[in-house]
Amino acid sequence: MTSAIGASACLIAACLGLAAASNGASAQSVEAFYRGNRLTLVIGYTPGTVYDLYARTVARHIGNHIPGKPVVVPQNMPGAGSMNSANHIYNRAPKDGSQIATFARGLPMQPLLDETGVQYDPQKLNWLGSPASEVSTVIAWHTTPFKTVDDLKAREMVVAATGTGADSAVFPYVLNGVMGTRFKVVIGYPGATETMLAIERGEADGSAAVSWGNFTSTKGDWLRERKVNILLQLALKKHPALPDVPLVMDLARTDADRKALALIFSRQSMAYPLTAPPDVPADRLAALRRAFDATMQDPAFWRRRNSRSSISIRLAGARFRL
Amino acid sequence: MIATVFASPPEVIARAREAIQDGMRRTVSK
Repeated sequence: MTSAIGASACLIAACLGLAAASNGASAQSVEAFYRGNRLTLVIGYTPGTVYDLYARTVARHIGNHIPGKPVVVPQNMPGAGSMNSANHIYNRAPKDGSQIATFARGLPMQPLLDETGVQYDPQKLNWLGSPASEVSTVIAWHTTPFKTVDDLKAREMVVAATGTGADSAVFPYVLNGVMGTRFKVVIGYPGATETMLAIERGEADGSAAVSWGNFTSTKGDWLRERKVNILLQLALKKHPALPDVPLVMDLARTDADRKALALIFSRQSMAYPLTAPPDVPADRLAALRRAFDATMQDPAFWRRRNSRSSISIRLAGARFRL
Repeated sequence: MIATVFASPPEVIARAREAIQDGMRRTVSK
């Protein structure tokens, strides 16, 4: 009996110790933990997407700013509009600081809008930040009749989308509901590349969620050759390169609608979010956050980012702690 | 940022959800 009580006491003490470690500093130094270890960066999209490009650029540099200089290994985990990776980092990833993740910018607020498939609490994730903000745009192929916002209300416009919870569907849904546009959302395209192909082939008239930074880097020829009309920009503030394109926030008809739009499009200021799981030891989390901040100050990061993705315009206030 | 979004007034969240649902009803899927 005595030994059983003693064993229980030891177990309780051990549990308390583990609890203390999960909330405070770990017994092992941060440098000792990361030296010779690896940090996995889970990416919720396929290789070659803009999320993937940002994440791999972060992965190449952030390890240099973490004590012990771990090797950082990108791991693509696509599925369900990147919700698979969000569910993974919250539920299944080790909570010791050895994994971080990036996924769709809308997922942090998704539980407020639609809980389908959500298995994470964004308020318990340990956000590191976002290397950039974004502005999305509504574009239409140049041969279609869509030239202005009024055209979007006058006739049905077919837009290509990836999934019901993705920006490519949520944005046109919101615009239909708030502004009276007549987007017909066709769901089922795997990603932005296939969406652009659908527009070029005439399967879709356009898209209501084209990230401007990505678009200018991948479809610069469309812009130069005026292949698309830029009808509307979707963010809280205008992109400096698009002064004459209407901003969605200026078109709300009521204060309630304006606030709803602000809620939806606030995601643009955390365009490529990075997070650690819940309950990471405090000293390792602090080290990861310091490393992210240092990466954002690292000239080598910006040189590589600009050379790889040709995203030449860095928006004001681009780095955020979420 | 996340905390601010989740601290939005219930009526704002409700309007955003309503707008998405309204917009979704007007569309069809592939």
